[in-house]
Amino acid sequence: MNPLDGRLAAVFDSVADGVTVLDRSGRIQFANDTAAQLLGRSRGSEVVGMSGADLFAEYELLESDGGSLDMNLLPTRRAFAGEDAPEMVVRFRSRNGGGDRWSLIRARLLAGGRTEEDLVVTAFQDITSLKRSEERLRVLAEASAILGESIDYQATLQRVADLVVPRLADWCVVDVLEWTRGVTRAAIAHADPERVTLAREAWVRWPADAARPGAVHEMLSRQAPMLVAEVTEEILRSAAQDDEHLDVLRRLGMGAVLVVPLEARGDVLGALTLVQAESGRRFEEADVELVAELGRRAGAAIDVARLVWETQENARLRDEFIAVASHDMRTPLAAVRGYAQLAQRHLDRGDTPDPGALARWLRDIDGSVDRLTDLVSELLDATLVRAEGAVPLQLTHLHLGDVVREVVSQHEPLAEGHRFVIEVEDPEPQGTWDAPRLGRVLDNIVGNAVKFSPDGGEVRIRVGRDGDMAYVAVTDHGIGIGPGDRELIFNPMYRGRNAGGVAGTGLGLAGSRRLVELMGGAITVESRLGDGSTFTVRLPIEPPAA
Amino acid sequence: MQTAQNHSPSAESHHRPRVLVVDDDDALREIYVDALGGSGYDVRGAQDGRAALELFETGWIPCVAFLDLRMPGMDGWELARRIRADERWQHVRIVVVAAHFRIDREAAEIGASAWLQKPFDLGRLEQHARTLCDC
Repeated sequence: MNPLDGRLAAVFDSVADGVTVLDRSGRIQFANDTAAQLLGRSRGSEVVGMSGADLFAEYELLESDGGSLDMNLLPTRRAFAGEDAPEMVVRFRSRNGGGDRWSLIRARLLAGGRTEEDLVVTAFQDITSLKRSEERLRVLAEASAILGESIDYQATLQRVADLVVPRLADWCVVDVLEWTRGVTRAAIAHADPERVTLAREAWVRWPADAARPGAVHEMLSRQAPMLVAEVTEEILRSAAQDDEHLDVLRRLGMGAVLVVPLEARGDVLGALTLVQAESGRRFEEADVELVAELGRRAGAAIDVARLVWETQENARLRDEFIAVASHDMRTPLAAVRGYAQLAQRHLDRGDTPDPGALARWLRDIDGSVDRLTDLVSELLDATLVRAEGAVPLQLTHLHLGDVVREVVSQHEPLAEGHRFVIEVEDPEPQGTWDAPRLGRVLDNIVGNAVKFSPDGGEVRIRVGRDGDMAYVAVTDHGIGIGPGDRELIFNPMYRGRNAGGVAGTGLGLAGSRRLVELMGGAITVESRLGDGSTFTVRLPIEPPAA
Repeated sequence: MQTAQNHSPSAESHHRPRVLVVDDDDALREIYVDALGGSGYDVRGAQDGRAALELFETGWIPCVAFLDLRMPGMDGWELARRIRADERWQHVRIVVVAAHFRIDREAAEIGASAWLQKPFDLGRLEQHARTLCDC
C-alpha cells in the first residue's frame, strides 16, 4: 500500500536531503537513497518495512553538543503529536565507530483520513561538515588563546594537546626541536592516561633512528605536512623496531596519522602530530589545513618564548660580563691608588721611601696600568664583537710560534695536570696579524683545551703552513664535543650557558671566530665525544685587503 | 707552602695591636702592610688562607684580619669558615677586602664585621683597624 508512485520516489532520490516516511506504528513506509546512506545502507528500498527504532539501533542519538537526548524531542515524534513543523539538530554516534555525524531534522505530519493512517515525512540534512568546521574554528580560537597566555611554552603546548583531544583527534603529540637535545616530546594527550603512559614508554624505549625515522622525523626532514590516511599493518611492520614494539604499535590502534610542522619565520621548530584511533575517525582535507594553521600558531608561540628568553639571557650575560670586567679592573686600580697614597703618606711624614722600594712601586703602577689597558681593549673587543661592529685591526709582522709560546707560557703554571707540547714547522710561519687579538683567540682556545680535559693529559699545539695559510692546531684529549654541538659552540648564547660564572672577560668562541674571520682566517673544529678535540685556526700569510 | 711576612719585628711588637692582611696580590699586600705598619700596628701579611692559619698556630692571633676572598690555594671563604669554627679564634674580627661586585652580601654571609671594596682610601683600612681593635 505504497502511497507514493515510482516517479515521486525518483524525485526524492535526487534531492540532497535524506527523506523518510513513517507511519504511527513506527514502520518505514518510504526512505530515499540518501536517508539510507546516512544510516549506513545503500538503497532506500532496503529499509522500507523496517521499524525506525531498529534502524536507529546502531546509533546513539545525542544533542548537538554531545549531551544525552530526550527521544520525545525528536521532530518525527513531535510531528505525530501534532506539533507544527518541528526541527532540531541531532548528533548521530555510530556504535561501530567512525566519528559523529550531525543532521538537521525537520518533520511534518501528513494527516490521513483516520489517525492510524497518519504519516510523518522527515527530512535529514547532513550538516556534519558545517559542524566540524565550526568545531575546528573553535579549537583554533581556544588554542590561540592558550598559546597567548604564557611564554612557558612547555605548559601551553600540553594544554593545546589536551584541547585537541578528543575534539579533533584521539591522540595529540607535540615534539619540539631543542638546540642541544634534538627532538624532545613536549606534550602528549589521549583520553586514557594509561595509554599516554604506554605511548611515552614506547617513545623512550624505541626512539626513532635513521633506519626507522617514523612520521615525525620524516616530516621534519621534508618540512611539510604529512598525512597517513590509513595506517596499515604493513606500515606498522616497517615502523616497528622489534616484535614487542610492533605489539605496542598495534595496541595503540592508530588508524590515521597527520603530522604538521611547528613553523616560525621559515624555520621548522618541531612537529604537531594528530592520530585517529579508537574513534574510527579519519582526516579530511579541511583537517590538514586547520592542523597546519595550529602548527604555525604553536610555532609562533615557541618562537616568541625563545626570543624573550634569548633577550633576557643576553641581558643577564651582559650584566654578568660587566660585573666580571669591573671586578677584574678593581685589583689593578687598587694597586695604583694604594701606591699613590702610600707615597703621599711617606712624603707627609717626611720619610722618603728607599729608592729600591720606590722603583718597585713605580714598576707595579706601570704594570697595573698595562693590565687595565689590556682589560679595556678586551672589553671593547668583546662589546664590538657582540654588537657586530667594526674592530679596527692593528697589524704587525709576527712569528706565529712566538705568539703560541707566549700564550702557552701563561697557561703552563696554572694547568698542573696538563703537559703542553709545541711543534713548530721549520721554517716558522710568519705573517702580518693583530698580535694582541691573535693572542686572545689562542688564549681562549688553549684555555678551553685545558678546561675541557679535566683529567689532564697532553695538549699538543702544532704550528705550520698549508699553502698560503698558516695554521695553529690545538689538540686535547678531553671530553670532546658531540656532532650536534660542533657548530653550536660558536654560538654566543651557547657559550653563555655552559661558561657560567667563570666567564671572565674572555671573548668566547663566538668572538674568537669573528676576530679570526676579520683577519681573513677561519676556525674549525674536529672532535669525537669522549676522545678530545682539535681546534684549528687558519690565517692568511698575507694580510687581508683593507 | 706560603710564608708570612713580618713587617716590623721589633721588641715591643706585643704592645701594639695585631693586624693581619691576607691577599694573594703581592703589590696590594705590601701597600696594606706598609700603610697599617706606618700607623703603629703590628702587621703581618699572608698570601692565602693556609699561610694565615700557620701564623695563628704559632700563637700570633690578630684582633682584625683583612681578607681577600678569591685567592689560589685556600681562599677567603674557607679561611673565614675555619676561623669561625675554632674557639681559640673567636675574638678575631674579619673585614672583607675584595673587588667583588656583591661584596656586601659576601661579607654578611661569612660573618664579617665590615667590608672594603677595592680600590679604597687607605685611611679606611686604619679606621676599621682602630675601631675593631679597641673593643
